[in-house]
Amino acid sequence: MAVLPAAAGTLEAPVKKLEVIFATAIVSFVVFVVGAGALYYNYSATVMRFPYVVGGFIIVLAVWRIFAALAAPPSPATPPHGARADTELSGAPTAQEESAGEILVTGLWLVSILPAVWIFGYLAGIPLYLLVYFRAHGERWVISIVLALAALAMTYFAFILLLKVRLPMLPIGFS
Amino acid sequence: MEYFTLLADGFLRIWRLDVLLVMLAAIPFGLVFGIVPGLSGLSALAILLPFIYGMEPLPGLALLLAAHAVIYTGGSVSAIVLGIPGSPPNAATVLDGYPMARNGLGGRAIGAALASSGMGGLFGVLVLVAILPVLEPIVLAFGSPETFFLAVTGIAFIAVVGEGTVQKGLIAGLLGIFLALFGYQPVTSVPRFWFGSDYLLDGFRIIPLALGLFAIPEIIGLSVKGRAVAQKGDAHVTMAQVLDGVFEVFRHPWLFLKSSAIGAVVGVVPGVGGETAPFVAYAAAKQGSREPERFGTGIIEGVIAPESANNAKEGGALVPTLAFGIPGSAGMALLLGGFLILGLEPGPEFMREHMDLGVGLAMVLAFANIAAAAVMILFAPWVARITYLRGHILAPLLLAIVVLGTYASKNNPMDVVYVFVFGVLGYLMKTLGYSRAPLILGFVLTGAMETYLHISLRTYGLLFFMRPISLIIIALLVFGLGWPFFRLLLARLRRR
Repeated sequence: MAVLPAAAGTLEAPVKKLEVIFATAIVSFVVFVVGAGALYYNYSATVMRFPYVVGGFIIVLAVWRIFAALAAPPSPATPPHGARADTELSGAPTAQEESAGEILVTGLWLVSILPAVWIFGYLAGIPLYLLVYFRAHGERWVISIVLALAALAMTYFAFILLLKVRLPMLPIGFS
Repeated sequence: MEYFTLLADGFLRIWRLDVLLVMLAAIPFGLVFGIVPGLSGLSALAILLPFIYGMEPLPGLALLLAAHAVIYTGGSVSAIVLGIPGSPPNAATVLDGYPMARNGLGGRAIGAALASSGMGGLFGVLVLVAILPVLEPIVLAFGSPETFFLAVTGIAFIAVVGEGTVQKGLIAGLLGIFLALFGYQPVTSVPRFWFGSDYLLDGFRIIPLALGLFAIPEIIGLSVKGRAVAQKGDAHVTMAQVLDGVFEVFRHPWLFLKSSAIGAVVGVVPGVGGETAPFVAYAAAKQGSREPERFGTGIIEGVIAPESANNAKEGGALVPTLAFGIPGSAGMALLLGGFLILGLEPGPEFMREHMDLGVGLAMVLAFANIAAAAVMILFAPWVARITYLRGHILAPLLLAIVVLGTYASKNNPMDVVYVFVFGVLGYLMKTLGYSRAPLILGFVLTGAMETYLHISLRTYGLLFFMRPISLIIIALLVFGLGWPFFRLLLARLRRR
């Protein structure tokens, strides 16, 4: 059962800070987009009816969320309500177990697939990315090479030959 | 009597060699698209569409329908084993299926999901067959105001059901609606909030959003963790476990029937069926349970309810597609394209002239559901073993599939970039306890909601909500939103 706002309980200090930042970011995003629609694009009432109503509700709820987070007493030992169920659901370590640095490094590793496919194209970029990733994370050469070759085979046979996907073979923009 | 003859004829027609062959080709195709996150059911239908040129109507439509029917059956396996829904409608299965897998009960969850999918699909066909002769009054009773309120109710229910607070659930649902407001406005065709970007002219796409919200946070989790999702033995899925899960469906007959009925009924309503039905069934199961607090911790009821509804809705979704040419779900919209390719125009005329074909399609749906569930039950112990792969191996491989699948869906590299943008949003939501399901549902339903609201206001004015069915749905909406508060109030009163 969903937790009621009144029973929102305590928040760990860094999570509380993140909660406030996140809700503020949502409010800022909505205000910016709706403001652009109303003041810059001058959309008609028909076009803006839904954004006004939905945006208004989001702002009210998010501001309420900010005050609720600020009002909640900090408790280093207690994870936020809902976060517990969600992290359990995902199998991911809890916020306490993960350091911000670890998450940032992991994020950078994952995002680096974009320049890989951009520079080398999908067919070569993905196996190369996998090879580098596996080696950097301590996998043996044999496993790394076999998995990279398997990815190459899957990309070629499944996506290019079977599904007829026109994957860029060369750097994007040159193919 | 004449209708029973049609039913018998429709049953016999699917046993033709050409129809059987295309179904046998379509079932594994649909299952693979269901299992692999990022390869949506819509991609499967779109890829198959060119192959039906020159085919006879029944085998041509059987190819599309059989693939479409089994996608959600395959998707349930990845939702349970990896915590990543194979396709958006499988998102509700993650809520209890994944915790079950992490508790070493993945086999039971898979067995229950597959059996409820197969039998739910069959239930949907029975509903379809039962209401085919009496279609018009049912679908016509749902006008634009009713459809609008049903969509709102769907989002509100999920907001209440989600993991975090009601407040956070509502923010997520509304944010989903807000993200869907980018791009051409459905009524006026004015490009809204496009900020000079060609990509935003068509608005954000469902595949990058769904993968960003559900796949990227899981991949980050796997990568940070490094070790296997399941330790040796944790996710040991045996045939006995899977069969036990299958029997669980028979141990919860009312839950299965109720959820399948919800799926079939919600599926009938044009545009709403798709992602709404499993969540509404999950919400109904949770609210009807004596132990609602156990939902989300990994219980079998939380798997049976969404999976029964998931496949049952397809039978319901065929109803408006066949009778009025109005797709009951996004997949049905592509199926409608298939009809047009084959020179058929669904609608009242179609029902009069080609009722035999309609019944034949119902039989295809029934066969595909049962055959897919049987195939998956046989191979489930092997499919589930991917959880033994270490996080450092699984994460980049999944990422590669996500990137390839996203690119393949539209051949647009910007989609891949947006997977990561929405991945950041998904990760933050997960960390802060915001339920991600309302966001995706809000996103999916917005186009139809905005159109239906516009039509309602134009047709009925500001009092468009005063129609009887609308009032009933609004009452359900208020009750659903207020239920957690009523429960708390009742509990406090009892304690006094």
